[in-house]
Amino acid sequence: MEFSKRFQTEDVWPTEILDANPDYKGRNLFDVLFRNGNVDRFGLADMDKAYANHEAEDFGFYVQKGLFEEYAAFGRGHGHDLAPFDRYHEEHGLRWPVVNGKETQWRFREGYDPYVEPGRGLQFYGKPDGRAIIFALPYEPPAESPDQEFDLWLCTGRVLEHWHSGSMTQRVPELYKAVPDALCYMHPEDARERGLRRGDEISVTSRRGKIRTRVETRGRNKPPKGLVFVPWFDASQLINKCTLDAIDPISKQTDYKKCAVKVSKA
Amino acid sequence: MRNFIAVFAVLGLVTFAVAEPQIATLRGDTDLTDSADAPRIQKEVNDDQRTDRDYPMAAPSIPHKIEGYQIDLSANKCLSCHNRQRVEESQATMISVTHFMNRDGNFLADVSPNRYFCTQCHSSQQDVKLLIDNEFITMDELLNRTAENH
Repeated sequence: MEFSKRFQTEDVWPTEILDANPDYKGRNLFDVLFRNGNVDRFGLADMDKAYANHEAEDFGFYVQKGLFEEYAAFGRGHGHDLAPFDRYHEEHGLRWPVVNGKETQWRFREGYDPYVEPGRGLQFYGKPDGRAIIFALPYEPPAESPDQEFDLWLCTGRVLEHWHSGSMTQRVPELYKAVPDALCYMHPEDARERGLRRGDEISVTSRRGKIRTRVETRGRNKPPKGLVFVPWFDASQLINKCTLDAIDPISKQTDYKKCAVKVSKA
Repeated sequence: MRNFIAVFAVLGLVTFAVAEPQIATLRGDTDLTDSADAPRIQKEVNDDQRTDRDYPMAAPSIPHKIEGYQIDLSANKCLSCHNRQRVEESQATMISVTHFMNRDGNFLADVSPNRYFCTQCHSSQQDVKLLIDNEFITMDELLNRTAENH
């Protein structure tokens, strides 16, 4: 906000906007955006002392409330009504639309949502015909599923202690001692069928690569039968050697959550 | 052109020389394409010795074994010693008073549901050798050092 005082509208906005709004021409950006009779219409007397909105004191008006009310004005009257600013100091959240101080507990449903016309029962009023758009998409099979040889699902993921890989957190003694190395979390019956015991060194092998790790059957992760979980934080056990390079054809999201592996004693 | 290539060849050599690892990796000596020996699963520290916390609000680590502890909707093994009504018998540390507060700051009679799953913040420690030394110093030591320098 303070920064905007250093600019004239001509410095930052294209001529099309200024031609369409001649009042903005030759004016200070702060005056147009904030000191405009709208954002600055609430005085410091409106402030709730429980909230440290120090900027308001600096600028001489209750900018937080002014900006919120300006934003809320765009949604009021057509199904996106927000409650007045001060109400959200009293409650953690309200489901919209909030009409006449009352939140909507069941949206698009007659008797709950005041925007539903009488007699409609269920009305998705965001669309001209009042009906919802539902996408029915064909089933997309996994790029790879377990078979006779690679007989387990592999799921990879995170552990709390090394959330964004262990490159920093494995250097913190408390976190490293909590979860030192990656493990292969496995259902006890899957382990027994393969002649494995907790702590055994194993190979996790897929068609693409393999790593060596240790079996954990009693850990924090309790996978169902037929699935093993290996976290990817550990630089010395690169489980993504095993995962697929398949991606979702539409969203391009990578598929690290499911592929086929086998587990054997190393 | 020949000079140009020569310069690139020299640069290439220099780059190659510099490409040797300069920072300590956590992978050790194992090559990227190779698979290191998997370290053994170590025992949980079980000496009941409390450790200093680096910050007053830090969640203390658990100085005993918690293997096999049930913490779910039907039971919480930790609370059977650490809850308010159990510490006389167990002589364990009572859970912090903050754990009886709900998110609005009101005190409840029993542990607050949002503090119920102990291992979301507290963990036991394994008896392992650190991969790399950590040079962290506490704020107390930092203040001491600053005081000495003035």
